[in-house]
Amino acid sequence: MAVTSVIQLDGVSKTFGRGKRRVEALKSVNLEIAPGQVYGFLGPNGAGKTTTIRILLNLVRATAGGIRVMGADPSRDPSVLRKVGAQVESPSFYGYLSGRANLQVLARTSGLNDKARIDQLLEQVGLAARAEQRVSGYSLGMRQRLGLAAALLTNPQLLIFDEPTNGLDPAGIQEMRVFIRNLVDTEGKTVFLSSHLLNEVEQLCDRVAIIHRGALIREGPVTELLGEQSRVRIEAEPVEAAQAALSERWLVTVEEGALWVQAQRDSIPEVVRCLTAGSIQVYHVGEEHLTLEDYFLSVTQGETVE
Amino acid sequence: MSTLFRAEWQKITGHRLVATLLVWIYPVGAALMMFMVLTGVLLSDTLRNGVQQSPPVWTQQSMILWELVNSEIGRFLLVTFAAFVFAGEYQWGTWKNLIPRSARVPLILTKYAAFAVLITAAVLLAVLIVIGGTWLIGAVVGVSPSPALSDGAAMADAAGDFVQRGLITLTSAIIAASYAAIGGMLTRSIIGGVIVGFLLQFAEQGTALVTILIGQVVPALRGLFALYLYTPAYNLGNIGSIARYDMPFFPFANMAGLFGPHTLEASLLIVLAWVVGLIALVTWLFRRQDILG
Repeated sequence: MAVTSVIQLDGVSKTFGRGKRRVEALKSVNLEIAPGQVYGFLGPNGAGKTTTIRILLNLVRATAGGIRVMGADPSRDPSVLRKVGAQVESPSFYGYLSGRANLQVLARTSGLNDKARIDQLLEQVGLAARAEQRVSGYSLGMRQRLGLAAALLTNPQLLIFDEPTNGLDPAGIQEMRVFIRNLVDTEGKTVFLSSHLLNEVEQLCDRVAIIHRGALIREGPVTELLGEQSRVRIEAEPVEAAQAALSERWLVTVEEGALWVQAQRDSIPEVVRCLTAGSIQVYHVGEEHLTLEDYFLSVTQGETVE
Repeated sequence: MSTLFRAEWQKITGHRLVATLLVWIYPVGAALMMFMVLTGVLLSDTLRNGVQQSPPVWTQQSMILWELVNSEIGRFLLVTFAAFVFAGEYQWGTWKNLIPRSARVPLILTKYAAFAVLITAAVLLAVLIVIGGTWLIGAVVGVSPSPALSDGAAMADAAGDFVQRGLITLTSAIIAASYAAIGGMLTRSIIGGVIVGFLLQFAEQGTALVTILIGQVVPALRGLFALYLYTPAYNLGNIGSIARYDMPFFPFANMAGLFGPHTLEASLLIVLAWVVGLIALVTWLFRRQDILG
């Protein structure tokens, strides 16, 4: 039977600690990811992104809920994770071993002993010339590349990356974006990634999910999420009265003396009526499409991203 | 499983400092010792005469190596080595790379296997060096070390004794490794593994002293001493004593009326229960543990 979703979370919850130290890291998260796409996973600091990724990789046990990766529950059938390549948080390796030796250790742990594959991957991520150097001497960018090679060792169908562009320079970030896109577009793989570079996510991902305080608050195709959530910029006086008049029905923020109203295009007449009914002077009304960053900040109330 | 073992071997031996100081120290030490004795024999008439008058017994010398591994210093090296093997992954944050690639139980059991095989390999290598060195010294001095290789009965005795001491030392090493593993898992650091490993070993060995003291202060609690008779330290000592001298180990004359030594079978059973129990505990803890680092 063909697997229709590569990742499926049904009401997954995770609680750390007990009593006063109890922290609810995930609250009944539901997520379904179809194959053949780049899927972005966003959230502010401590939102639960890394916990979700660790649950998917059987590093952390969910307190409740069902998890399926490539059609199987990884906590019951860990062998399914051989079809998954991953890099969790900052890349960690044995600093006293060379880059090549680290890949050999990971390949052997996966039950492989394919020297040619290691050579090919070192070449692919641009580390062939430094392969015999100890990893302790690698820069963060080089470790990221080694992490990418490690994730690809078993030629997995699903790749999970936690902040894959951390430590890369702008050229490296662009290279990584092309690399990840190619994995999906030419090799038919699925990539699930978390990133704090919202501009990168917007350019790279087909769909995104936003997690906030342990709960999934938005999910959908990037174009759809941004398309349906345009903002209206209004110049009106007095600003405080205008904000008060609109706040009852819309999410309103004030930036540099202008009002930003979270509303779609067809709501503009209603917004204007609301203002004029309150004897507020309206000087300018204009619609602006959100970037993913604007959208993210609006739904997470401006909390910083990891 | 064999590739998993090779991965573990590569990780351990790849850390040259740790491998040299904690594992290869036995063959390296044996080679240095043999070199010093050989130099002494070559340079000193007194030493040469001493060897001629009392030819070396190579079987006894090779046995010493197991005792060395099981000595206080040897145990310190074992616990430190075990902490490196079991807690290193926490300290370096590398479990997150390994766990998605293999089930947890084989991962942890492979660490036990690599630990035991490396210690055995180091001791066997050291024994070969000691035997070779002894025969070389004998040849230089002009005497044949005893027993002769043609003495079948002596060889069989020596082999049996060597295996028996080796098993006792390895069992003791596995128990020490489990203590260090538990410490490493709970503290998620190598130094934590070393400290907790030592504290547990100390607690085990100190049970006799503590329970005797309690019994002297509160005579009604003299029965607590029985706890010591169920520790690996006592039972491994008892097994060794019965196997070597055909005498049980019980140096507690004032307890003779209350307690007696265990039989060989009972001690074997108790040690087996400890080994299986500790490995099962380590595996159970690891299976349930959230990997957060």
